[in-house]
Amino acid sequence: MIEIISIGALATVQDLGRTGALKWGVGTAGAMDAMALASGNILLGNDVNAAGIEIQVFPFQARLVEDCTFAITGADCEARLDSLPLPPWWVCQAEAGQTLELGLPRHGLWPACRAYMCLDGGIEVPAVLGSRSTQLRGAFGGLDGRTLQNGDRLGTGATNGVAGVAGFGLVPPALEMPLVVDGLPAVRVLPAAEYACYTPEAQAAFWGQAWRITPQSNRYGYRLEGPRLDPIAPMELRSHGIVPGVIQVPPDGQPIVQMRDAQPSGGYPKIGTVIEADLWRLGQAPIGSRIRFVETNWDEAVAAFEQNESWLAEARRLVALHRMRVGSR
Amino acid sequence: MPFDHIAELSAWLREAGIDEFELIGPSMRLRLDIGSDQGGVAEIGRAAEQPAEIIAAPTFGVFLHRHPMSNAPLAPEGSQVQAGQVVGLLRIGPLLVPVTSPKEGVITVILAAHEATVGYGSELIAFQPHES
Repeated sequence: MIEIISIGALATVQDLGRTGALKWGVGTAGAMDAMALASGNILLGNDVNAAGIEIQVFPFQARLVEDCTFAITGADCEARLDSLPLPPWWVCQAEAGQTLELGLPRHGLWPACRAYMCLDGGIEVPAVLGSRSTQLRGAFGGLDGRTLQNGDRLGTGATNGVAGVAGFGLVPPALEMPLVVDGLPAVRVLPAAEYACYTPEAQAAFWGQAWRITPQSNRYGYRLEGPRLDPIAPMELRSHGIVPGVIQVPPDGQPIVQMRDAQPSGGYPKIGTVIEADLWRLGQAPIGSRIRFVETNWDEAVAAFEQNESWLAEARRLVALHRMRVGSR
Repeated sequence: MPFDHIAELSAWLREAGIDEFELIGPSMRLRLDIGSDQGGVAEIGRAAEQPAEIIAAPTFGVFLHRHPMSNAPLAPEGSQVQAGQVVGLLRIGPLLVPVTSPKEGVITVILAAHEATVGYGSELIAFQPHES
């Protein structure tokens, strides 16, 4: 059990997402940086899909109401347990009454903007349509379908029984699997249905120029700023199904990337889709930063997904070995 | 260490352009100051009032002076550390295992290089505990 004592806006309970419900018009939600949430759960020995807290406005303070083991991943927020500084991407044991505090994200060697707090056993909120993620648009899932507030108390599921060994960490996958073009963080993109309807100049700019993440960016979508993307001829489409990662271009020529809380349908033309395996990279890109798009294909997109999975599997294997070695002393 | 190696050590340091060399072991301390005004000084002495301690590697791995996300060293030479504080890290693939200070004290010398591959029990850090 933890109690939120200081929280900014927009912190939510998230797992890896409510997949399989788009057919009922229910968006996926889920952690913006799925790799960070999964890593926090691996540090604790939880199922990778256990629910944690996604924090995107700082500072954040939580009082640990009971003895517990927790993990902090995502942006490096100079975490402190009472006065003791904790390294980033770390699992830690705490005693009842201690306070965890996260400060402003440090943009040292990995500019990131969202932190994750995971707890032994996962955060216990009812699963709705197979997921504990907060679905803000529908006001269900998570804690009462809403963002967290001061005074909220969150319980945990049954301990997984191995988190007694704590005090170690992981290297963030962003540093292990960097993707950078001309010094800017990049994400891989598949050309989408209307890609061929854009002028050659627009296509070249899409791949060749930097895109700034504007302040009108959030869990629903990122509005980007850059060269104007013009179609060869104006397009009018009927609304159709869309998924997180789809890059739409409204008539102003400035692209919008759909993110985790995207609605499940839209009518703007689609120039590309950020591959699922790179959505976590985009999910950490801070407002005001610039990114690049890299053209990819189906096979590379599948390989990138498999690379993420094997990174997580290796992390889980090494964490289990470490627990066994330390636990047997 | 026999005293007759000091001349040889000094020559190596001069060749490498290193002005100062300090080695602190559990019971002795050697300091060579080649760049000093006196034209080179060698000091050999008892380490200190309190015996220095060595922090050894708790496992094999790649020894890191700083966290991979940060440019700042966790515990540079001369820094005061608390008992249980993380003063270095051992990296094994994506896993980071802490090297912790056993007591409150001062980091005197970091013996292993940043990103050096070290084995279990390798001497990583010389550490001067505070008098308790």
